[in-house]
Amino acid sequence: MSYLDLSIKEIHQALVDKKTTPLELTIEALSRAKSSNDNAFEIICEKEAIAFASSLTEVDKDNLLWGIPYCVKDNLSTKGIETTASSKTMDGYIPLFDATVVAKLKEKKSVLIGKTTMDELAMGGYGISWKKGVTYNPFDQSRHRMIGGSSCGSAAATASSIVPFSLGSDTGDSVRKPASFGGLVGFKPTWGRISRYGLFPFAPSLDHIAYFTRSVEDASILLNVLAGRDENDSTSSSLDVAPVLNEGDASLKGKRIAVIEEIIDAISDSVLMDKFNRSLEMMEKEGAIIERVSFPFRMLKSILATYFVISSAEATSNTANIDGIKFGPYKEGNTFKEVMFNARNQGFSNAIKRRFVIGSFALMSENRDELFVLAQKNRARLVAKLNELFESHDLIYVPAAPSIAPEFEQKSANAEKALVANNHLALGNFAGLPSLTIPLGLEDGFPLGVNFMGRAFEENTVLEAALSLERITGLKGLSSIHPKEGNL
Amino acid sequence: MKEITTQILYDAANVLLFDLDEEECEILERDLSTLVDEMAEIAEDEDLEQFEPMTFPFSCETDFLREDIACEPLDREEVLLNARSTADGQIKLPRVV
Repeated sequence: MSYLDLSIKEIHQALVDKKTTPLELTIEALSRAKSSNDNAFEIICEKEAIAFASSLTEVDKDNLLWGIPYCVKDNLSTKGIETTASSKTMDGYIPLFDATVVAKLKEKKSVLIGKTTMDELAMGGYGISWKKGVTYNPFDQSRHRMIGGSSCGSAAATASSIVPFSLGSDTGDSVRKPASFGGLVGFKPTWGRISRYGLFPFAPSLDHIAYFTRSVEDASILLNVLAGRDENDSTSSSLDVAPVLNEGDASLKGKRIAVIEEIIDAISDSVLMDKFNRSLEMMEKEGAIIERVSFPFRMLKSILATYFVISSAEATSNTANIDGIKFGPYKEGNTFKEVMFNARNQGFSNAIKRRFVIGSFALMSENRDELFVLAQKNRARLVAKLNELFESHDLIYVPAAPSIAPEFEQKSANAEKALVANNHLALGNFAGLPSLTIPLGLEDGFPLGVNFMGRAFEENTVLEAALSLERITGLKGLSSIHPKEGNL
Repeated sequence: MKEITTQILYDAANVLLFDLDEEECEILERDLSTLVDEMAEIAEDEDLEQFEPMTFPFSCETDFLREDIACEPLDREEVLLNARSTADGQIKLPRVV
């Protein structure tokens, strides 16, 4: 076993005990990254990583992230390192600044080893980068199953123990769904908890910085480092972040947990449901108060359309500055408009163009009320229903996905139920609530995930419950190179 | 609501400064029609009228303006670093007039 397979605290202790060094860890991480066939990286920053790791000689005993390798999704700005969000329109773009989250990790002397693949401009859930192609699920050596997206590369890199943690973004479920498929902890804190300065915006009212770890304790450590008010992001919160949780903080006693029946009914995977129901029994034994609640199926069915209208409309607006003039490939033309047209036409993929046209159509004056405004009202209605549940419950707990990672060409049997089972995680984006996916078990060697959602800014309630469940499942540290069945 | 026609979609694409080929337009027409139908189904719910459109998930107190203190701007080299068509320290484009 390599130190890279361990938790953040364990790696830190090994560094403190001088059993390893940042340079050794970085060389190992780079070696794994280069030999991986999962296609997780846009760029591997070998020279920069080695140079930085070499400079770290005096261990900072109070800094848990000191000297630890990590990677970031390629829609997060990294000063001096090409950042393209997997879009050809951004080829060659070198940011002049670090995203706040990258700057914070740099300050903590974590070692950035690479920028990871993603669906173009974060718009997509299949884990297919237009530039680099498919990112594979490290649990599937046959290369038939996706890891999901859009944070596919960060998920794959963490699931295969290239790094112990990686950053992503989550606008509809883009960290929490790949976390389920990759056997990872995928945490999306409250909207505004973590500064989005330096994140290429997709749909700002839904965008969150989120991240992958292989344990809940590691997720808590990262929250403490990444969260906090940033003057560069006016939507970032000034509220205090609760301290890092330890293993002993896990407690479900008295926690009122709601299980949404309509989401459960939309799932037909009997192995998943068997493990899910056993997890409920085990959590009740530890003092949790589980209640099955109703969330109208008709409303749950409306999530995808609502998400698509809002996100496409916001995305159309946010990408208006991509024109090949200030950055990106310059395409010749007879007029400046032709220059911009050629850059955008040749740079955006067809899938992205479709989203932009949909967004534009939704915003047309003749359509706005019936599409965009209606979607915003429906969002308000969905959030109101969620908040109603949280008046009498501390957490909502549901399967994160309908089953294990699907194959790339797989179609759903029941379209209506699939609409609900595949898209309910977007509720966490609509409402901006903290939402965490954690592994539940394996089915035929592939991970199954579940999701906890809590009230705004109550990240520690979510983390405590997840810590308890992690102890129940026995899946802390799960990875594709160290798979385990778990206890359920 | 504007009817979804091939021409509308081509026009929307052109306003957004790109093109669609025929195959893409067909896929888009299909996807958009499905989406419009789904939104029409949502619109049948009468209780939606009691809700205001939600732009952000919750209110938060914040400051948008920084102190009116002069800062160091980017230098010209930095500004032009990512522009591919430059001349004499400026971004170069086709003549407008």
